[in-house]
Amino acid sequence: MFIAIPATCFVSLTRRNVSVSRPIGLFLTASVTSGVAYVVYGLLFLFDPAHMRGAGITALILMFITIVMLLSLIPALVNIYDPERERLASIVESSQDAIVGKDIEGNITNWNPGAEALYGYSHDEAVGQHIRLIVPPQRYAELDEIMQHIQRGESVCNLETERRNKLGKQLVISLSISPMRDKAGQIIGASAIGRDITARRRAEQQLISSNKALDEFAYVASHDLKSPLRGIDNLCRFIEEDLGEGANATVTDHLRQLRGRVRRMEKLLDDLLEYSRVGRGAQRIQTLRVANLIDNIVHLLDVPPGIDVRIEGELPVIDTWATPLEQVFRNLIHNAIKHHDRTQGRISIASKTLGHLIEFSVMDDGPGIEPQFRERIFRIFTTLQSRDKLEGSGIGLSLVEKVTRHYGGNVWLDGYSDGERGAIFKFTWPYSVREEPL
Amino acid sequence: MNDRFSEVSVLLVDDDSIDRMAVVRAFRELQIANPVIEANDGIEALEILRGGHDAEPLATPFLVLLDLSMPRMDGLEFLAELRNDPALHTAIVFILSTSKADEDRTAAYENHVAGYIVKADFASEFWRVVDMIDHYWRVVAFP
Repeated sequence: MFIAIPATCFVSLTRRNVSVSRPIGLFLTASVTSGVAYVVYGLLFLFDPAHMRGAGITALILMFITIVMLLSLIPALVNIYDPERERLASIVESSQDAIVGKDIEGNITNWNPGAEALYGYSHDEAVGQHIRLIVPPQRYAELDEIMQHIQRGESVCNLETERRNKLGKQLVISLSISPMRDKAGQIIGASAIGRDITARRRAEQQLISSNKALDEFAYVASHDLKSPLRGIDNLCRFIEEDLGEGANATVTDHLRQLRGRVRRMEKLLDDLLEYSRVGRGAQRIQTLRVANLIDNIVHLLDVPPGIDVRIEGELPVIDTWATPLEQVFRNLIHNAIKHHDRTQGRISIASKTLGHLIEFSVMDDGPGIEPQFRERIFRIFTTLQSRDKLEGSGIGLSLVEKVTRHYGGNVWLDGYSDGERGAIFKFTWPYSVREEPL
Repeated sequence: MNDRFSEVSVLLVDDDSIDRMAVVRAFRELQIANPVIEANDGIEALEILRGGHDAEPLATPFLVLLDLSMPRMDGLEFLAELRNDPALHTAIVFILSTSKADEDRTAAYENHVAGYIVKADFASEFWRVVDMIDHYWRVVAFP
């Protein structure tokens, strides 16, 4: 009983508290239990001197020494029960990250449950082994390098490397390693915090390869799919030329329609390519005077003489990605011109500030869009008129929606501009940007 | 028509027979009678330029109209070969392009490309090329 209680107490302490190593714990247990035994002998002698006889004096001396030793142990015991250390220990214990301590030679001294879960070795299997237990051979050189950093007192942060678990499976790990020092400041080892990023890395690689595939697809769509089309168009032209004036009118008309379909297909491929490329490739941020952007777009679009494109009020100067914003304005203004049903018309562009967003509006006095169709206009490949009446790929507005959402805004149709005619498209755009969007 | 241009032979490198036909027809339409030699890909074009197999190398002056995507040896690989061949590295090459992306892809060979002709507008663009070649002629001697 005298031996069992302190022994259990100390063993449990050493097991729970990662800062007390096993040999020290065993030593303390042994000395305290023997000390307690001497105290018992001493007390027995005091109360029943006759029973102890000659051994009495020795027992008294040993009791005295033991009491002094126990008293001197009190600060150490208090230290072990330090609530701050208890909290730290429990953080280490409960962490999902693998936290591993090793001495300066690289022998494992600490191994938390997170390490057990990640690497598959239990605490008892790992402690005492060299850290190479979990390092694959191709990373031995890197490990030596890390240990050199540690010996110089330097930390290694967020190193992406490989480790091997008990089953031999390779893991991709993000590792942070720092030197551990004793009270005198001497480096006695290193602590390493590891996090499994295998799944993240795999997802990143899949993303990279699927982006690459998309780029290749976009090039194939623009180049390889268009070249047979160009061949068809050329052959139609050759036939037209060779038939000359004397051709049957039906044949000429069919050839004309055939070439019209070829052009429609080319436009679809061009627009699809543009749609697939939204947000791809590095976009440079520049200070942009939106009014200048509108002027350039109007200059490049073929605006019929009766249509007046004007800016209402002031348009802001913003730091932004110019190309995507240009795509949005170009499509909205182009739509307003293309769908206008009268020879005289007006398209006005305005803006207002909504917190960190700017709300732009493109308003026309064309036919407008009936309420029952307002949902479907943003769907890809959707047009409201037969393509034979009005050529269009049906991609323009879906492109506008994809671009605005990608860059942190939105786009919507705000109904008729004068109650029964005209469309008002509004979209939001970030006021100022400092980095690439997600 | 520039007199000196009539001496020039044209090496047309394109794997699409309809595209080659379009160039030949455009020449006929423009009443350009220069000899046109056709090649299916870069390897054929190099054989014609370098001669061999009892054939003489293509006589100078000549200019090359080059498509980019071709089997066996594509346009970029052909340009790389030209650049490393001391006998051919001054050849005048125009790219037959189908899109802006072609011009981006050729950027690395800018010094070895005299210009681009958009295939879809070949007939109208070729006059510009003839003018440009005339200009070239005054500045650099034909190889």
